[in-house]
Amino acid sequence: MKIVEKRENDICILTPIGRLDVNTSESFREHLLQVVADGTKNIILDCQSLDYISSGGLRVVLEGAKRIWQMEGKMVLCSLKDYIKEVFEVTQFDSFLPIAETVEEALKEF
Amino acid sequence: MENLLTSAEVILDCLSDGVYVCDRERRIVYWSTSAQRITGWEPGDVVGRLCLEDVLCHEDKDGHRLCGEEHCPLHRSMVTGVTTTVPVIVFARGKDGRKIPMQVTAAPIRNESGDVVGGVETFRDVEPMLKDLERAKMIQAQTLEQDLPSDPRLRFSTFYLPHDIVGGDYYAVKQLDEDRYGFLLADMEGHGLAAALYAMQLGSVWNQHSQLLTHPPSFAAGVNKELVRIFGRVVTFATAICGVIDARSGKVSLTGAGGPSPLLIQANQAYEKIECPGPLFGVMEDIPYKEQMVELEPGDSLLLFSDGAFEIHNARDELLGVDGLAKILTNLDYPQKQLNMDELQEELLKFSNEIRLQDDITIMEVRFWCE
Repeated sequence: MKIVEKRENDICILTPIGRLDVNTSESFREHLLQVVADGTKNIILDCQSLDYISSGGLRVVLEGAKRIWQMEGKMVLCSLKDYIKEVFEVTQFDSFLPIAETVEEALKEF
Repeated sequence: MENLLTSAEVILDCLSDGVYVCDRERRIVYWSTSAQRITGWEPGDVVGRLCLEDVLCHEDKDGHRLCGEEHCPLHRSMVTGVTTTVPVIVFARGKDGRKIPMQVTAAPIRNESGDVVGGVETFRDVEPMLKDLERAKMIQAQTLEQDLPSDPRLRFSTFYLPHDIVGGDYYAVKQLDEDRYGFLLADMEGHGLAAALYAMQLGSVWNQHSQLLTHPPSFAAGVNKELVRIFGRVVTFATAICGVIDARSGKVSLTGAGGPSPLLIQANQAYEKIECPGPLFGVMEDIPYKEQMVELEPGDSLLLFSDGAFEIHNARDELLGVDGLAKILTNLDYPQKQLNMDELQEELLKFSNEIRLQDDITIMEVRFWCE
């Protein structure tokens, strides 16, 4: 899976491209946890190019978020496509993680 | 002596795992001594032949042939250039015709320019482990096997199709009093053994809390609290839908914990999704759950299912989705005709263009007749 990484001050913006499923979750997990292990406390997960997320994908997002919480950091999700939005609504992910409309809105969360 | 100890072929032949190498056309060019020991096939029987010929005949647990283009682990590894990260269990045919369960890993072999020129597959005889898994499957089946309520006013039916030998879905139904029945369909994240072990724990959590189902949000809160404790520092979760139906009125109270929206299908095949969002089980303590009311008319059917039943992509990468599942069900003349899991699986496979489905599938049907 291709993951675009950008920095905005001390915030890391990760944009996974394609599907986060059984085949791609592990590579995304490694990338995400490496970013956290490198000391990044603030992460925006920009989902504008994410077409699908499986429950394994959700677990990876949760795992990243929990690591960040341990460091008293924050993870914000943004730019969800309709299907992804539906998955996050059904699972009420916003009770665990803030969800913003755009990257600009997400940046305001920090 | 030194040459002997560093000779790759000597090392490969001493391994307990079988090893063989194919060129890009999948012609077998190397077959290790251990491969011979496990399968009975000698190098002379197989070297020079295509691995997709009738030699190894890899099959999955359900007997589907894997030696095609996209399902062969070795071929897939050569096409994608990726080493398998999770070993897959396949059944191969030994020289004596015996089916041998094997754990298989595959990796591409590249030339100096980085082009894939072949692939290597290693395999391990897992017969002893498989016997254990078969016992685990039996134990899991006993946990899920329960007498469904017998009541002329309604009918519960359950259908379960694990992806691996054991699965991570759990379901249960319980009569709460003269007229009310509580039910739960839960899906542990992931599949395989770890998910199956957690699914067993869901069974004991159900037993502890099922009386709370007279008010599903209280039941959900109790289960969530218990699962947060059980999962501890392991990051995982379960999705679920639970509820209670009153057999006098057809009134149903549902609570969602990230489970897929159930389908209400009327006798005339009109259907609607019953949205009941709610936080995943086992992630965070002290989260409130909500209640969603729905009223069944006589002849209506309420279907709960795990995401394996609709999170299926076709060859064009389109997702089946809940609406797609509903269309397949109505094409199968449901609910006039009783749900047939074999027919449904066939239709899902047709859509998916795969030889096997990628997740556990569980469906629970609540059919209301009235008095």
